[in-house]
Amino acid sequence: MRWRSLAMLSLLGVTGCAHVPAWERGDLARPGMELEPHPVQRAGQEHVYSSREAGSAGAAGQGGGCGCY
Amino acid sequence: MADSLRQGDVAVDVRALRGEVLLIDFWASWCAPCAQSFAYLNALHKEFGERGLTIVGISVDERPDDARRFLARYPAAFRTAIDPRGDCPRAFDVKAMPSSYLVSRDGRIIEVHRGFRSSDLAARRQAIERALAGPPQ
Repeated sequence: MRWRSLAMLSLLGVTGCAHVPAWERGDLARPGMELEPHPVQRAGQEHVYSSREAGSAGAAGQGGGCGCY
Repeated sequence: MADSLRQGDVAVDVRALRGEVLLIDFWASWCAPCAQSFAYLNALHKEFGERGLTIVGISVDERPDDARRFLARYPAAFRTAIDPRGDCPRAFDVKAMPSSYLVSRDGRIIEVHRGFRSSDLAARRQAIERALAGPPQ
């Protein structure tokens, strides 16, 4: 049990979160590091998708996960 | 101390500039507001340079070529330097980009400014004028 607790604590310590100083964010500022690297293309695709699939609520599907609208 | 970006100079030692009002500006090629701030810093250099204001722009780019490309696109009339190891920003405890530190003639940091907003420019200019009006060392 003790070893399991230690292992859990160790895993918490290696979650990969780290403070990056303001002057070391050059690589993080690259376009390829964005969550959405192609925002214009994505906006166009979403527009087309929501236009074509508007009858089924497009990308704004509602419901409890059962697939019914 | 940071290596100069200009050929011929080896390093910029701000201690040698004691007696002048210093504006130490930390910038980077990947920092969009830094590009905006260069026009403002050039204007300050033109307006206050002869009255004793020395602007030192220190690039924190890890790759010096990035900084050189940035300077080719946004020329700086003021002194520029580069610190790829980050010793200077670490010593100044830089929290944001860009950050500028106004240093009085007696070597005290009298104003720290983070970011670049046009709404702050008048106040920053007044702070520089007050520093220049201070007693010479």
